Amino acid sequence: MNYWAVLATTVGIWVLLALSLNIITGEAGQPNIGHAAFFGIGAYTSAVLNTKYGVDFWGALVMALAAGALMGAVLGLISMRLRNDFLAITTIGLNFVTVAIFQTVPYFGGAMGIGGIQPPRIGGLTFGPVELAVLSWLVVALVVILNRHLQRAWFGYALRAIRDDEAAAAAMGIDVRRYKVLAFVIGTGIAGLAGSIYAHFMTFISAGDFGFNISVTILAMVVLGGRGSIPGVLLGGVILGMAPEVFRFISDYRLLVFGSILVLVMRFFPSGLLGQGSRLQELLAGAFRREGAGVRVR
Amino acid sequence: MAPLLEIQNLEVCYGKAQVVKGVSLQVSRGDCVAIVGANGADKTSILRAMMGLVPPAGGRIILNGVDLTRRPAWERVAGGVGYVPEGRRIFPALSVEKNLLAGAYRVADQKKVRRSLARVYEIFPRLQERQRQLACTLSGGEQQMLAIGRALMADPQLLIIDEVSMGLAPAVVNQAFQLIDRLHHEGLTVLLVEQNARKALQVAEWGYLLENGEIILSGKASDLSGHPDFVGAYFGRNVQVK
Repeated sequence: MNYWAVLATTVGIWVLLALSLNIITGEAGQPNIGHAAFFGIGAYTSAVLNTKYGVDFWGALVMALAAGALMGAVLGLISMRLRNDFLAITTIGLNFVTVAIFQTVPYFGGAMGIGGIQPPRIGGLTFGPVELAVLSWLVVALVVILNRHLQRAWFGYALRAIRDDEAAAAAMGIDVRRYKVLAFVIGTGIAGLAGSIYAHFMTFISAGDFGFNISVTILAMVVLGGRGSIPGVLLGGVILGMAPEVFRFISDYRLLVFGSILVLVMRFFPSGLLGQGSRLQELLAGAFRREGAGVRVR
Repeated sequence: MAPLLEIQNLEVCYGKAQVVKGVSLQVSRGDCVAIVGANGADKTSILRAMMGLVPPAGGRIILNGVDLTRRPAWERVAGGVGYVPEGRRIFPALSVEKNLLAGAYRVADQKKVRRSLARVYEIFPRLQERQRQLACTLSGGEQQMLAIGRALMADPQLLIIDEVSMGLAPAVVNQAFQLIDRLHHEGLTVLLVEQNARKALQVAEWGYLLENGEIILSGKASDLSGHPDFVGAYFGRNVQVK
Protein backbone atom coordinates (compact mmCIF):
# COMPACT_ATOMS: atom_id res chain seq x y z
CA MET A 1 0.00 0.00 0.00
CA ASN A 2 2.79 2.37 1.00
CA TYR A 3 4.63 1.69 -2.26
CA TRP A 4 1.61 2.70 -4.32
CA ALA A 5 0.96 5.74 -2.14
CA VAL A 6 4.57 6.92 -2.53
CA LEU A 7 4.36 6.34 -6.29
CA ALA A 8 1.04 8.23 -6.45
CA THR A 9 2.55 11.18 -4.56
CA THR A 10 5.62 11.26 -6.80
CA VAL A 11 3.49 11.13 -9.95
CA GLY A 12 1.14 13.77 -8.49
CA ILE A 13 4.08 16.15 -7.97
CA TRP A 14 5.31 15.52 -11.54
CA VAL A 15 1.81 16.19 -12.89
CA LEU A 16 1.63 19.45 -10.91
CA LEU A 17 4.96 20.54 -12.38
CA ALA A 18 3.83 19.63 -15.91
CA LEU A 19 0.52 21.52 -15.47
CA SER A 20 2.37 24.57 -14.15
CA LEU A 21 4.81 24.63 -17.07
CA ASN A 22 1.90 24.14 -19.46
CA ILE A 23 0.48 27.55 -18.47
CA ILE A 24 3.77 29.24 -19.39
CA THR A 25 4.90 27.19 -22.39
CA GLY A 26 1.74 25.48 -23.61
CA GLU A 27 -0.75 28.31 -23.16
CA ALA A 28 1.35 31.48 -23.43
CA GLY A 29 4.00 30.01 -25.74
CA GLN A 30 6.92 31.25 -23.64
CA PRO A 31 9.89 28.87 -23.64
CA ASN A 32 11.02 27.82 -20.18
CA ILE A 33 13.66 25.10 -20.01
CA GLY A 34 14.60 25.88 -16.42
CA HIS A 35 11.30 25.23 -14.68
CA ALA A 36 12.95 23.07 -12.00
CA ALA A 37 14.46 26.29 -10.60
CA PHE A 38 11.01 27.35 -9.38
CA PHE A 39 10.32 23.85 -8.08
CA GLY A 40 13.56 24.19 -6.10
CA ILE A 41 12.76 27.72 -4.91
CA GLY A 42 9.45 26.45 -3.51
CA ALA A 43 11.07 23.40 -1.91
CA TYR A 44 13.90 25.37 -0.32
CA THR A 45 11.58 28.16 0.89
CA SER A 46 9.40 25.57 2.59
CA ALA A 47 12.37 23.61 3.98
CA VAL A 48 14.15 26.68 5.38
CA LEU A 49 10.96 28.06 6.95
CA ASN A 50 10.12 24.70 8.49
CA THR A 51 13.57 23.68 9.78
CA LYS A 52 15.00 27.08 10.74
CA TYR A 53 11.93 29.07 11.78
CA GLY A 54 9.49 26.37 12.84
CA VAL A 55 6.81 27.37 10.33
CA ASP A 56 4.41 24.46 9.82
CA PHE A 57 3.69 22.88 6.42
CA TRP A 58 0.59 24.95 5.69
CA GLY A 59 2.29 28.30 6.32
CA ALA A 60 5.39 27.18 4.44
CA LEU A 61 3.20 26.01 1.53
CA VAL A 62 1.74 29.49 1.09
CA MET A 63 5.19 31.11 1.34
CA ALA A 64 6.63 28.64 -1.20
CA LEU A 65 3.82 29.53 -3.61
CA ALA A 66 4.55 33.24 -3.08
CA ALA A 67 8.32 32.76 -3.54
CA GLY A 68 7.81 30.82 -6.79
CA ALA A 69 5.35 33.45 -8.05
CA LEU A 70 7.68 36.32 -7.14
CA MET A 71 10.59 34.79 -9.04
CA GLY A 72 8.20 34.08 -11.92
CA ALA A 73 7.25 37.76 -12.02
CA VAL A 74 10.94 38.62 -12.38
CA LEU A 75 11.31 36.11 -15.24
CA GLY A 76 8.08 37.45 -16.78
CA LEU A 77 9.53 40.95 -16.82
CA ILE A 78 12.73 39.59 -18.38
CA SER A 79 10.59 37.93 -21.08
CA MET A 80 9.49 41.41 -22.21
CA ARG A 81 13.00 42.01 -23.52
CA LEU A 82 13.97 38.48 -24.55
CA ARG A 83 12.23 36.29 -27.08
CA ASN A 84 12.21 32.62 -28.04
CA ASP A 85 15.67 31.05 -28.03
CA PHE A 86 17.21 33.88 -25.98
CA LEU A 87 14.54 33.47 -23.32
CA ALA A 88 15.01 29.68 -23.40
CA ILE A 89 18.74 30.06 -22.79
CA THR A 90 18.10 32.57 -19.99
CA THR A 91 15.82 30.06 -18.24
CA ILE A 92 18.50 27.35 -18.54
CA GLY A 93 20.99 29.77 -16.99
CA LEU A 94 18.51 30.58 -14.22
CA ASN A 95 18.22 26.86 -13.42
CA PHE A 96 22.02 26.45 -13.17
CA VAL A 97 22.41 29.59 -11.06
CA THR A 98 19.64 28.51 -8.66
CA VAL A 99 21.15 25.04 -8.22
CA ALA A 100 24.61 26.58 -7.70
CA ILE A 101 23.25 28.90 -4.98
CA PHE A 102 21.53 26.01 -3.17
CA GLN A 103 24.70 23.95 -3.46
CA THR A 104 27.21 26.54 -2.27
CA VAL A 105 25.43 28.82 0.21
CA PRO A 106 25.65 27.34 3.74
CA TYR A 107 22.28 28.89 4.68
CA PHE A 108 20.69 26.43 2.23
CA GLY A 109 22.64 23.50 3.63
CA GLY A 110 25.28 23.58 0.88
CA ALA A 111 26.14 20.22 -0.65
CA MET A 112 24.63 18.42 2.36
CA GLY A 113 21.14 19.72 1.58
CA ILE A 114 18.44 20.27 4.19
CA GLY A 115 17.15 17.38 6.29
CA GLY A 116 14.68 16.98 9.11
CA ILE A 117 11.78 18.63 7.28
CA GLN A 118 8.54 17.87 9.11
CA PRO A 119 5.74 16.10 7.24
CA PRO A 120 2.40 17.94 7.12
CA ARG A 121 0.12 17.72 10.14
CA ILE A 122 -3.55 18.45 10.77
CA GLY A 123 -4.45 18.50 14.46
CA GLY A 124 -2.95 15.30 15.85
CA LEU A 125 -2.66 13.56 12.46
CA THR A 126 0.79 13.42 10.90
CA PHE A 127 0.59 12.81 7.17
CA GLY A 128 1.84 9.42 6.03
CA PRO A 129 2.27 8.25 2.41
CA VAL A 130 -1.49 7.78 1.85
CA GLU A 131 -2.45 11.22 3.18
CA LEU A 132 0.35 12.82 1.14
CA ALA A 133 -0.89 11.04 -1.99
CA VAL A 134 -4.42 12.32 -1.34
CA LEU A 135 -3.07 15.83 -0.70
CA SER A 136 -0.96 15.93 -3.88
CA TRP A 137 -3.82 14.72 -6.09
CA LEU A 138 -6.24 17.11 -4.37
CA VAL A 139 -3.90 19.95 -5.32
CA VAL A 140 -3.70 18.52 -8.87
CA ALA A 141 -7.52 18.57 -9.02
CA LEU A 142 -7.62 22.19 -7.81
CA VAL A 143 -4.98 23.24 -10.35
CA VAL A 144 -6.89 21.47 -13.16
CA ILE A 145 -10.10 23.28 -12.16
CA LEU A 146 -8.25 26.63 -12.05
CA ASN A 147 -6.54 25.90 -15.35
CA ARG A 148 -9.86 24.92 -17.01
CA HIS A 149 -11.46 28.09 -15.72
CA LEU A 150 -8.60 30.26 -16.97
CA GLN A 151 -8.56 28.48 -20.32
CA ARG A 152 -12.24 29.20 -20.90
CA ALA A 153 -12.04 32.80 -19.73
CA TRP A 154 -10.51 35.75 -21.57
CA PHE A 155 -7.24 35.08 -19.77
CA GLY A 156 -6.65 31.78 -21.57
CA TYR A 157 -7.90 33.30 -24.74
CA ALA A 158 -5.42 36.18 -24.53
CA LEU A 159 -2.58 33.77 -23.75
CA ARG A 160 -3.31 31.66 -26.81
CA ALA A 161 -3.46 34.77 -28.99
CA ILE A 162 -0.05 35.84 -27.60
CA ARG A 163 1.30 32.32 -28.23
CA ASP A 164 0.07 32.34 -31.84
CA ASP A 165 1.21 35.87 -32.74
CA GLU A 166 2.39 38.31 -30.13
CA ALA A 167 2.40 41.37 -32.41
CA ALA A 168 -1.10 40.62 -33.71
CA ALA A 169 -2.33 40.10 -30.14
CA ALA A 170 -0.93 43.51 -29.16
CA ALA A 171 -2.60 45.04 -32.21
CA MET A 172 -5.94 43.59 -31.02
CA GLY A 173 -5.59 45.55 -27.79
CA ILE A 174 -4.34 42.66 -25.63
CA ASP A 175 -1.96 43.91 -22.95
CA VAL A 176 0.82 41.43 -23.82
CA ARG A 177 3.11 42.53 -20.97
CA ARG A 178 0.45 41.98 -18.30
CA TYR A 179 -0.63 38.56 -19.55
CA LYS A 180 2.90 37.25 -20.03
CA VAL A 181 3.86 38.24 -16.49
CA LEU A 182 0.61 36.73 -15.15
CA ALA A 183 1.30 33.45 -16.98
CA PHE A 184 4.76 33.26 -15.43
CA VAL A 185 3.45 34.19 -11.97
CA ILE A 186 0.71 31.53 -12.00
CA GLY A 187 2.92 28.83 -13.54
CA THR A 188 5.91 29.37 -11.27
CA GLY A 189 3.66 29.82 -8.22
CA ILE A 190 2.22 26.34 -8.81
CA ALA A 191 5.76 24.97 -9.30
CA GLY A 192 6.67 26.52 -5.92
CA LEU A 193 3.65 24.79 -4.41
CA ALA A 194 4.81 21.45 -5.88
CA GLY A 195 8.25 22.10 -4.41
CA SER A 196 6.79 22.59 -0.96
CA ILE A 197 4.82 19.32 -1.13
CA TYR A 198 7.98 17.57 -2.40
CA ALA A 199 10.14 18.90 0.47
CA HIS A 200 7.65 17.79 3.16
CA PHE A 201 7.09 14.47 1.40
CA MET A 202 10.82 13.63 1.10
CA THR A 203 11.77 15.31 4.44
CA PHE A 204 15.24 15.80 2.92
CA ILE A 205 16.18 17.88 -0.13
CA SER A 206 19.42 18.73 -1.88
CA ALA A 207 20.28 20.93 -4.87
CA GLY A 208 20.59 17.93 -7.22
CA ASP A 209 16.83 17.31 -6.94
CA PHE A 210 16.19 20.49 -8.96
CA GLY A 211 18.77 20.19 -11.72
CA PHE A 212 18.47 20.78 -15.45
CA ASN A 213 17.53 17.13 -16.10
CA ILE A 214 14.38 17.70 -14.02
CA SER A 215 13.51 20.77 -16.14
CA VAL A 216 13.94 18.74 -19.33
CA THR A 217 11.72 15.95 -17.94
CA ILE A 218 8.96 18.44 -17.07
CA LEU A 219 9.18 19.95 -20.55
CA ALA A 220 9.07 16.43 -22.07
CA MET A 221 5.82 15.75 -20.15
CA VAL A 222 4.21 18.86 -21.66
CA VAL A 223 5.43 18.13 -25.18
CA LEU A 224 4.53 14.44 -24.97
CA GLY A 225 1.01 15.14 -23.74
CA GLY A 226 0.38 18.08 -26.07
CA ARG A 227 1.17 21.72 -25.41
CA GLY A 228 -1.86 23.61 -24.17
CA SER A 229 -3.97 20.50 -23.59
CA ILE A 230 -4.83 19.88 -19.92
CA PRO A 231 -5.81 16.18 -20.40
CA GLY A 232 -2.70 15.76 -22.56
CA VAL A 233 -0.36 17.24 -19.98
CA LEU A 234 -2.00 15.12 -17.26
CA LEU A 235 -1.38 12.05 -19.41
CA GLY A 236 2.19 13.12 -20.23
CA GLY A 237 2.90 13.67 -16.52
CA VAL A 238 1.49 10.28 -15.54
CA ILE A 239 3.32 8.40 -18.32
CA LEU A 240 6.74 9.96 -17.76
CA GLY A 241 6.23 10.13 -13.99
CA MET A 242 5.59 6.37 -13.86
CA ALA A 243 8.08 5.36 -16.57
CA PRO A 244 11.08 4.97 -14.22
CA GLU A 245 9.04 2.53 -12.12
CA VAL A 246 7.45 0.68 -15.02
CA PHE A 247 10.83 0.13 -16.69
CA ARG A 248 12.70 -0.64 -13.49
CA PHE A 249 12.91 -4.34 -14.47
CA ILE A 250 15.18 -3.56 -17.41
CA SER A 251 17.53 -1.73 -15.09
CA ASP A 252 20.40 -0.18 -17.12
CA TYR A 253 18.38 -0.03 -20.35
CA ARG A 254 15.66 2.07 -18.78
CA LEU A 255 16.81 5.38 -20.24
CA LEU A 256 17.20 3.81 -23.70
CA VAL A 257 13.58 2.58 -23.69
CA PHE A 258 12.39 5.82 -22.14
CA GLY A 259 14.07 7.90 -24.86
CA SER A 260 12.88 5.59 -27.65
CA ILE A 261 9.26 5.97 -26.53
CA LEU A 262 9.63 9.76 -26.65
CA VAL A 263 11.10 9.63 -30.17
CA LEU A 264 8.31 7.32 -31.41
CA VAL A 265 5.55 9.43 -29.90
CA MET A 266 7.02 12.57 -31.45
CA ARG A 267 7.28 10.78 -34.81
CA PHE A 268 3.64 9.63 -34.85
CA PHE A 269 2.05 12.38 -32.69
CA PRO A 270 4.05 15.54 -33.50
CA SER A 271 1.63 17.79 -31.59
CA GLY A 272 1.70 15.45 -28.58
CA LEU A 273 -0.60 12.58 -27.61
CA LEU A 274 -3.62 14.82 -26.98
CA GLY A 275 -2.37 18.04 -28.60
CA GLN A 276 -4.48 20.04 -31.02
CA GLY A 277 -5.02 18.08 -34.23
CA SER A 278 -3.48 14.82 -33.01
CA ARG A 279 -5.21 11.64 -34.17
CA LEU A 280 -5.88 10.53 -30.62
CA GLN A 281 -7.32 13.91 -29.66
CA GLU A 282 -9.60 13.94 -32.71
CA LEU A 283 -10.73 10.42 -31.92
CA LEU A 284 -11.60 11.36 -28.34
CA ALA A 285 -13.12 14.71 -29.35
CA GLY A 286 -15.39 12.85 -31.79
CA ALA A 287 -16.47 10.42 -29.08
CA PHE A 288 -17.21 13.12 -26.50
CA ARG A 289 -18.31 15.99 -28.76
CA ARG A 290 -20.84 18.27 -27.10
CA GLU A 291 -22.91 20.76 -29.01
CA GLY A 292 -22.24 24.37 -27.96
CA ALA A 293 -19.01 23.59 -26.10
CA GLY A 294 -16.31 26.18 -26.48
CA VAL A 295 -14.90 29.41 -25.14
CA ARG A 296 -17.28 31.36 -23.02
CA VAL A 297 -17.30 35.09 -23.71
CA ARG A 298 -16.65 37.27 -20.68
CA MET B 1 -11.75 70.51 -37.02
CA ALA B 2 -8.75 68.61 -35.60
CA PRO B 3 -7.80 65.50 -37.59
CA LEU B 4 -8.63 62.07 -36.17
CA LEU B 5 -5.02 60.92 -36.63
CA GLU B 6 -2.00 63.16 -36.92
CA ILE B 7 1.55 61.96 -37.42
CA GLN B 8 4.25 64.59 -36.95
CA ASN B 9 7.86 64.03 -38.13
CA LEU B 10 7.76 60.30 -37.38
CA GLU B 11 11.14 58.58 -37.37
CA VAL B 12 11.75 54.83 -37.04
CA CYS B 13 15.15 53.18 -36.66
CA TYR B 14 16.09 49.50 -36.69
CA GLY B 15 19.40 49.53 -34.86
CA LYS B 16 21.49 52.21 -36.51
CA ALA B 17 19.52 52.21 -39.76
CA GLN B 18 16.87 54.92 -40.02
CA VAL B 19 14.05 53.59 -42.16
CA VAL B 20 11.33 56.22 -41.66
CA LYS B 21 12.62 59.77 -42.03
CA GLY B 22 10.37 62.48 -40.65
CA VAL B 23 7.01 61.39 -42.03
CA SER B 24 4.06 63.70 -41.34
CA LEU B 25 0.50 62.97 -42.36
CA GLN B 26 -3.09 63.53 -41.33
CA VAL B 27 -6.28 61.51 -41.52
CA SER B 28 -9.50 63.45 -41.01
CA ARG B 29 -12.71 61.91 -39.73
CA GLY B 30 -14.65 60.15 -42.52
CA ASP B 31 -11.72 60.19 -44.97
CA CYS B 32 -10.16 57.32 -46.84
CA VAL B 33 -6.42 57.96 -47.09
CA ALA B 34 -3.85 55.81 -48.88
CA ILE B 35 -0.13 55.56 -48.28
CA VAL B 36 1.34 54.03 -51.42
CA GLY B 37 4.84 53.15 -52.43
CA ALA B 38 6.94 50.41 -53.95
CA ASN B 39 8.12 47.36 -52.08
CA GLY B 40 10.73 48.41 -49.50
CA ALA B 41 9.48 51.98 -49.14
CA ASP B 42 8.93 51.20 -45.42
CA LYS B 43 5.18 51.69 -45.43
CA THR B 44 4.70 48.91 -42.88
CA SER B 45 7.31 50.41 -40.54
CA ILE B 46 5.17 53.56 -40.34
CA LEU B 47 2.12 51.50 -39.41
CA ARG B 48 3.99 49.41 -36.86
CA ALA B 49 5.18 52.59 -35.17
CA MET B 50 1.66 54.05 -35.36
CA MET B 51 0.30 50.95 -33.65
CA GLY B 52 3.00 50.94 -30.96
CA LEU B 53 4.55 47.69 -32.20
CA VAL B 54 7.95 49.35 -32.69
CA PRO B 55 9.08 52.36 -30.63
CA PRO B 56 9.45 55.50 -32.74
CA ALA B 57 12.89 57.16 -32.66
CA GLY B 58 11.29 60.59 -33.00
CA GLY B 59 8.11 62.48 -33.81
CA ARG B 60 4.60 62.35 -32.42
CA ILE B 61 1.50 60.20 -32.96
CA ILE B 62 -1.70 61.98 -32.01
CA LEU B 63 -5.06 60.23 -32.02
CA ASN B 64 -8.20 62.23 -31.26
CA GLY B 65 -5.99 64.99 -29.82
CA VAL B 66 -4.23 62.57 -27.42
CA ASP B 67 -0.47 62.03 -27.77
CA LEU B 68 0.01 58.23 -27.91
CA THR B 69 3.64 58.23 -29.07
CA ARG B 70 5.05 56.45 -26.03
CA ARG B 71 1.92 54.56 -25.05
CA PRO B 72 1.53 50.75 -25.48
CA ALA B 73 -0.28 49.20 -28.44
CA TRP B 74 -3.44 48.34 -26.52
CA GLU B 75 -4.09 52.03 -25.77
CA ARG B 76 -4.35 52.72 -29.49
CA VAL B 77 -6.97 49.98 -29.82
CA ALA B 78 -8.79 51.33 -26.76
CA GLY B 79 -8.62 54.77 -28.42
CA GLY B 80 -10.58 53.48 -31.45
CA VAL B 81 -8.03 52.11 -33.92
CA GLY B 82 -8.65 48.83 -35.72
CA TYR B 83 -5.62 47.28 -37.41
CA VAL B 84 -5.41 44.71 -40.17
CA PRO B 85 -1.74 43.72 -40.22
CA GLU B 86 0.30 42.81 -43.28
CA GLY B 87 0.03 39.09 -44.05
CA ARG B 88 -3.27 38.88 -42.10
CA ARG B 89 -1.61 37.59 -38.89
CA ILE B 90 -4.72 35.70 -37.83
CA PHE B 91 -4.44 33.32 -34.87
CA PRO B 92 -4.11 29.99 -36.72
CA ALA B 93 -4.83 27.67 -33.78
CA LEU B 94 -8.05 29.47 -32.80
CA SER B 95 -11.41 29.01 -34.53
CA VAL B 96 -12.84 31.69 -36.82
CA GLU B 97 -15.25 32.88 -34.13
CA LYS B 98 -12.57 32.99 -31.44
CA ASN B 99 -10.38 35.05 -33.78
CA LEU B 100 -13.26 37.49 -34.20
CA LEU B 101 -13.89 37.63 -30.45
CA ALA B 102 -10.19 38.39 -29.92
CA GLY B 103 -10.82 41.56 -31.92
CA ALA B 104 -13.43 42.61 -29.35
CA TYR B 105 -11.03 42.05 -26.48
CA ARG B 106 -11.28 45.67 -25.31
CA VAL B 107 -15.08 45.77 -25.50
CA ALA B 108 -16.62 45.09 -22.09
CA ASP B 109 -20.27 45.34 -23.16
CA GLN B 110 -21.41 41.86 -24.22
CA LYS B 111 -24.40 43.20 -26.16
CA LYS B 112 -22.04 45.33 -28.20
CA VAL B 113 -19.81 42.32 -28.87
CA ARG B 114 -22.78 40.29 -30.12
CA ARG B 115 -23.93 43.20 -32.32
CA SER B 116 -20.43 43.50 -33.81
CA LEU B 117 -20.29 39.75 -34.41
CA ALA B 118 -23.67 39.84 -36.18
CA ARG B 119 -22.49 42.77 -38.31
CA VAL B 120 -19.24 41.01 -39.29
CA TYR B 121 -21.23 37.88 -40.21
CA GLU B 122 -23.58 40.05 -42.25
CA ILE B 123 -20.61 41.55 -44.13
CA PHE B 124 -18.83 38.19 -44.46
CA PRO B 125 -21.42 35.35 -44.58
CA ARG B 126 -18.56 32.99 -45.44
CA LEU B 127 -17.06 33.51 -41.99
CA GLN B 128 -20.36 32.57 -40.35
CA GLU B 129 -20.42 29.35 -42.38
CA ARG B 130 -16.94 28.56 -41.08
CA GLN B 131 -17.25 29.95 -37.56
CA ARG B 132 -16.12 26.75 -35.80
CA GLN B 133 -13.35 25.94 -38.26
CA LEU B 134 -9.72 26.55 -37.30
CA ALA B 135 -8.47 29.78 -38.87
CA CYS B 136 -5.43 28.05 -40.38
CA THR B 137 -7.73 25.97 -42.60
CA LEU B 138 -9.20 29.03 -44.40
CA SER B 139 -8.13 30.11 -47.88
CA GLY B 140 -6.06 33.28 -48.34
CA GLY B 141 -9.11 35.36 -49.24
CA GLU B 142 -11.10 34.03 -46.29
CA GLN B 143 -8.19 34.76 -43.96
CA GLN B 144 -8.13 38.35 -45.23
CA MET B 145 -11.90 38.57 -44.55
CA LEU B 146 -11.22 37.25 -41.06
CA ALA B 147 -8.44 39.78 -40.45
CA ILE B 148 -10.70 42.65 -41.54
CA GLY B 149 -13.65 41.24 -39.58
CA ARG B 150 -11.49 40.89 -36.47
CA ALA B 151 -10.44 44.55 -36.74
CA LEU B 152 -14.10 45.60 -37.12
CA MET B 153 -15.17 43.77 -33.96
CA ALA B 154 -14.07 46.64 -31.70
CA ASP B 155 -16.22 49.04 -33.77
CA PRO B 156 -13.19 51.26 -34.55
CA GLN B 157 -13.28 54.92 -35.49
CA LEU B 158 -10.24 54.43 -37.70
CA LEU B 159 -9.47 51.25 -39.65
CA ILE B 160 -5.84 50.81 -40.69
CA ILE B 161 -5.29 48.18 -43.37
CA ASP B 162 -1.79 47.05 -44.35
CA GLU B 163 -1.38 45.50 -47.82
CA VAL B 164 -4.87 44.10 -48.24
CA SER B 165 -4.02 42.75 -51.71
CA MET B 166 -0.91 40.84 -50.70
CA GLY B 167 -0.94 37.22 -51.88
CA LEU B 168 -4.54 37.31 -53.11
CA ALA B 169 -5.96 36.36 -56.51
CA PRO B 170 -7.00 39.38 -58.67
CA ALA B 171 -10.72 38.62 -58.28
CA VAL B 172 -10.37 38.48 -54.50
CA VAL B 173 -8.36 41.73 -54.53
CA ASN B 174 -11.25 43.44 -56.34
CA GLN B 175 -13.69 42.14 -53.71
CA ALA B 176 -11.43 43.38 -50.91
CA PHE B 177 -11.27 46.90 -52.35
CA GLN B 178 -15.04 46.91 -52.97
CA LEU B 179 -15.47 46.04 -49.31
CA ILE B 180 -13.15 48.84 -48.18
CA ASP B 181 -15.09 51.25 -50.37
CA ARG B 182 -18.35 50.05 -48.80
CA LEU B 183 -17.04 50.45 -45.24
CA HIS B 184 -15.78 53.94 -46.06
CA HIS B 185 -19.13 54.95 -47.56
CA GLU B 186 -20.85 53.67 -44.41
CA GLY B 187 -18.87 56.34 -42.54
CA LEU B 188 -15.72 54.54 -41.40
CA THR B 189 -12.41 56.42 -41.56
CA VAL B 190 -9.86 54.28 -43.39
CA LEU B 191 -6.08 54.45 -43.71
CA LEU B 192 -4.84 52.13 -46.42
CA VAL B 193 -1.23 51.16 -46.89
CA GLU B 194 -0.84 49.48 -50.22
CA GLN B 195 1.65 48.46 -52.85
CA ASN B 196 -1.11 48.18 -55.44
CA ALA B 197 -1.30 51.97 -55.87
CA ARG B 198 -3.79 51.96 -58.73
CA LYS B 199 -6.41 50.09 -56.71
CA ALA B 200 -5.70 52.01 -53.51
CA LEU B 201 -6.00 55.42 -55.16
CA GLN B 202 -9.30 54.37 -56.77
CA VAL B 203 -10.97 54.04 -53.36
CA ALA B 204 -9.00 56.74 -51.48
CA GLU B 205 -9.71 60.46 -51.49
CA TRP B 206 -6.24 61.53 -50.46
CA GLY B 207 -2.89 59.87 -51.03
CA TYR B 208 0.70 59.97 -49.84
CA LEU B 209 3.52 58.59 -51.94
CA LEU B 210 6.34 57.08 -49.95
CA GLU B 211 9.86 56.42 -51.19
CA ASN B 212 12.75 55.22 -49.01
CA GLY B 213 10.94 56.14 -45.81
CA GLU B 214 10.05 59.68 -46.90
CA ILE B 215 6.85 61.17 -48.24
CA ILE B 216 7.78 62.61 -51.61
CA LEU B 217 4.32 63.49 -52.83
CA SER B 218 0.86 64.03 -51.39
CA GLY B 219 -2.40 65.24 -52.81
CA LYS B 220 -5.83 64.25 -54.05
CA ALA B 221 -5.81 60.57 -54.97
CA SER B 222 -7.13 61.36 -58.44
CA ASP B 223 -4.22 63.74 -59.12
CA LEU B 224 -1.47 61.48 -57.81
CA SER B 225 -1.45 58.57 -60.23
CA GLY B 226 -0.56 60.70 -63.27
CA HIS B 227 2.25 62.58 -61.54
CA PRO B 228 5.78 61.94 -62.96
CA ASP B 229 7.20 61.33 -59.45
CA PHE B 230 4.57 58.65 -58.93
CA VAL B 231 5.85 56.61 -61.88
CA GLY B 232 9.44 57.30 -60.81
CA ALA B 233 8.87 56.00 -57.31
CA TYR B 234 7.66 52.69 -58.69
CA PHE B 235 9.77 52.14 -61.80
CA GLY B 236 12.81 54.47 -61.48
CA ARG B 237 13.38 58.06 -62.52
CA ASN B 238 14.24 57.47 -66.19
CA VAL B 239 11.06 55.63 -67.09
CA GLN B 240 8.47 57.33 -69.28
CA VAL B 241 4.91 56.12 -69.40
CA LYS B 242 3.39 56.16 -72.87
